[in-house]
Amino acid sequence: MTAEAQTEAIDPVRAEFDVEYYLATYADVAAAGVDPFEHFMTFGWREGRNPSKRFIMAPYLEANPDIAAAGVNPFAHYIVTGRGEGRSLKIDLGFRYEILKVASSLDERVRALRESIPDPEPTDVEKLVSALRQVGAPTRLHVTISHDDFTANLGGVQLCLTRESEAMRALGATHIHLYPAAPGLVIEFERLNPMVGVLINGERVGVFSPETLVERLGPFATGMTPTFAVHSFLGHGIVAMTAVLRAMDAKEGFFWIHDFASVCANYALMRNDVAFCGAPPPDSPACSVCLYGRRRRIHLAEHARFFQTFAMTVLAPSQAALDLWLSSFPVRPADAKVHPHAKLRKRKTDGEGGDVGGPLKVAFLGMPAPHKGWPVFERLVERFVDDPRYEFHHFGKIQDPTVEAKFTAVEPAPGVAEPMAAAVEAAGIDVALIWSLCPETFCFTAYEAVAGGAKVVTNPDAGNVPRFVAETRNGLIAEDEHALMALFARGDVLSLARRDHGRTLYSLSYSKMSADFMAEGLS
Amino acid sequence: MKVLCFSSFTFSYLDRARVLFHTLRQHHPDWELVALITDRPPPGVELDLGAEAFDRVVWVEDLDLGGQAWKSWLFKHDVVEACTAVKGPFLHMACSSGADVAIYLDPDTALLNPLSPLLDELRDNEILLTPHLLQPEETLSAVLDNEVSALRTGIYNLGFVAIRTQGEGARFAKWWNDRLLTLCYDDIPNGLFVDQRWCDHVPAFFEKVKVLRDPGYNVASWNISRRRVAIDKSGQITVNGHLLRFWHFTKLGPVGDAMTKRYAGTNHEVHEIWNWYKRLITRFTDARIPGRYWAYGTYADGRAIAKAHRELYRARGDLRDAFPDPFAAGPDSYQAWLLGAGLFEPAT
Repeated sequence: MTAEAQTEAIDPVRAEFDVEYYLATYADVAAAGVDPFEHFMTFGWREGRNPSKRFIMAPYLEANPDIAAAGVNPFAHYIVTGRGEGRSLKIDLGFRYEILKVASSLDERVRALRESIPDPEPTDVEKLVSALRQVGAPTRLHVTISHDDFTANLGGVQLCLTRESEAMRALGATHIHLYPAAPGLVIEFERLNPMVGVLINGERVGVFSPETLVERLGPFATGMTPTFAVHSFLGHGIVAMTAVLRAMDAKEGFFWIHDFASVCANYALMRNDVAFCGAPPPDSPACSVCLYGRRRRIHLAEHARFFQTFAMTVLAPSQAALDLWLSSFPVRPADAKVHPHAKLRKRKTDGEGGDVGGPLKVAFLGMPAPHKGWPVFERLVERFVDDPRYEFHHFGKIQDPTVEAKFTAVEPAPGVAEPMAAAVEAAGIDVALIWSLCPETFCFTAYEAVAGGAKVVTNPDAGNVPRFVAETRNGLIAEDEHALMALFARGDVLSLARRDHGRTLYSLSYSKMSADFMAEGLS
Repeated sequence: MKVLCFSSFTFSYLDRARVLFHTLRQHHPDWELVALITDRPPPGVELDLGAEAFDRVVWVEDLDLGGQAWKSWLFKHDVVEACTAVKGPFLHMACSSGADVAIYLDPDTALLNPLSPLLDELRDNEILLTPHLLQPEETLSAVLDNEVSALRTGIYNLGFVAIRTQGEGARFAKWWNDRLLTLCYDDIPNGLFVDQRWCDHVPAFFEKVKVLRDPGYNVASWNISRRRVAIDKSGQITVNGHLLRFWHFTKLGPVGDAMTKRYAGTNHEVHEIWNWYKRLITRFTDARIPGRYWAYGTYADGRAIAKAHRELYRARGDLRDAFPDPFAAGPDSYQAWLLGAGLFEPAT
């Protein structure tokens, strides 16, 4: 027995004290050069300092007020007797409670965003005039509308718009993209004329009032019937955008279901930000108690009016998205089609791979956000982090240091087709937990997970993800969070993921978005 | 069936009452909604009936108090006692108002679904009551918090009562009126708890009483430990599988939050409903009404009326005879008498 092991046997409190964490968290202790454990046992616990990232004093004392009242060292008490008594580390009402506890009203959020990012001053109109002059007299014109400048941000919708823009220009069209000059959580309603940013053929021209766009784009489009595609109205005034499109003599266009902002002010259909609502009738009790309920009526009415003004073809990247949208939108569109953003294309089927042994590598891919199911992954890690059957990973842009999962930075990058798939493959990930709490309309992440050789574990509310998993037999659907925990506790997930791990790998072949429907019509 | 629905409150509960009447109007546009107010508006505040969801206001001085002068009668009660005591005389009055059904709801309740099934219940029954609890508690702390509390304050929660205005319903209203006019006090050691404890007698005293056992009515922090709230994808809210009809948002603030946290646990839908209520309260709050405002909480000179002054006045008929307006200040007032008797500190 080593000296260290002897100490552990003698002093279980010292054994569970996290020296590294303590020194990293409390710079004054590190600077003093004292024994961190001795410091904690003498002073630290009285000062409310945490002995490890797994044992946080304040929530422990809130959950165990008798320990607080007794004035004993809570950590030492927990290790020696508290744990055996079944004491909990915190009053755990779940992550949904934590979200609800701090929820503010939607009006407050809209106001706060507007105040923090006000509309910029309009650009000199001559810049627009000159940019239009440079384009000359095009024979084809394609207009897109979305929630941001797709050339400035990277993400699923932005990549879709990049492909659409490139494809349309390859067909000889001039591409005008309109986006809100200041971002919006919801569609604009209070302000009549929010400023609009303009890109022409991917180049930023400036920000202009809707009236300026009506005055300048109208004459520019004379003699052409522009095609258009709405990818999102978030941040826009729909009345203003309607005026711009009408000035250009647009008559019919495409409406993409990237999310459900046309159906509710919460584009993800997350009632009170905590649960998928299913888009029930807007006068239902569920919508009454939802903080998005009142504005939902505005979103529905404004989008409905737009659909009554133009002949719209709805394009959904999945059948799941289309089904949900059709069942919840009040106006029948002129047409509706499913058009996936991408398809899996086999790049390796050599029969190699299979069970490589070792712990099952389970990864969360992407943004550690509640609606993406991060708190569920967090709970999974918390429960199984010491289980030798599993090893937890997180791939994404932003790390959450409170979760004990191995973090690998992965970012979408121009020129790298499927960065997440490459990372999944390189790390030999067996299972991707894609536990979106709300319906994904497509979910590139799920496709990339499978492309990189992993199986996907998901839930029935995750929209296209469970359909994709069921149709391609690349994973399983756990009914709810309890069922998920049970899969891991029993080990069922092991046999699912390991049998044919990495035997088939894929790349993604992408659509050209709206351009796929317009090649002929543009002649 | 003509329905009259009323709530009893003071101006400091106007925000809550507005939420209740807003939800009542939404679900029952044809009901007559009455605000029973035991108060006077704070300076600068006027009720604009055109902007309120209720149809009319009944003030305490409009009630038949069994021959007692209203100021003298009112003075005997603190704010909770007064607001509960007036329910009796108004319910009794409602029985001859032309309404077929009269329903009382506390101002801190709110509807999430129509109350129409109550009208069906009132075809065969004449008095409807909701017990605080429908199932035994399972932990000692819940037994102490909820079961014992109901033993002290009354089995039925009188945040709700519904009656037919004839027959047994009217007989109940008259009996309740009589008791509340004389003995509506918060005096638990002597077996009284305002208007509520009296109603423990109701199933014995009256026929055609229905104890509503549907968990969708009168959901509150005191019974949430045994009720599971769910919100489904069709948009309905259910409690143990029954439609949620109305919630009783008792103790808005930290005390209510602590009770909800303790007993709702991970049932996040409960917290969603509370958040909704808090947003509505913010929407309907009139910032001009001072916190804890009650016009009858002070003497005419603005000094607070102590509970002991009310109890003394309540106990002594000679004082009531001598000072028919006990709220008055200055010479020959009850306040002056208290000062002389050394029972009231002189103003500094």
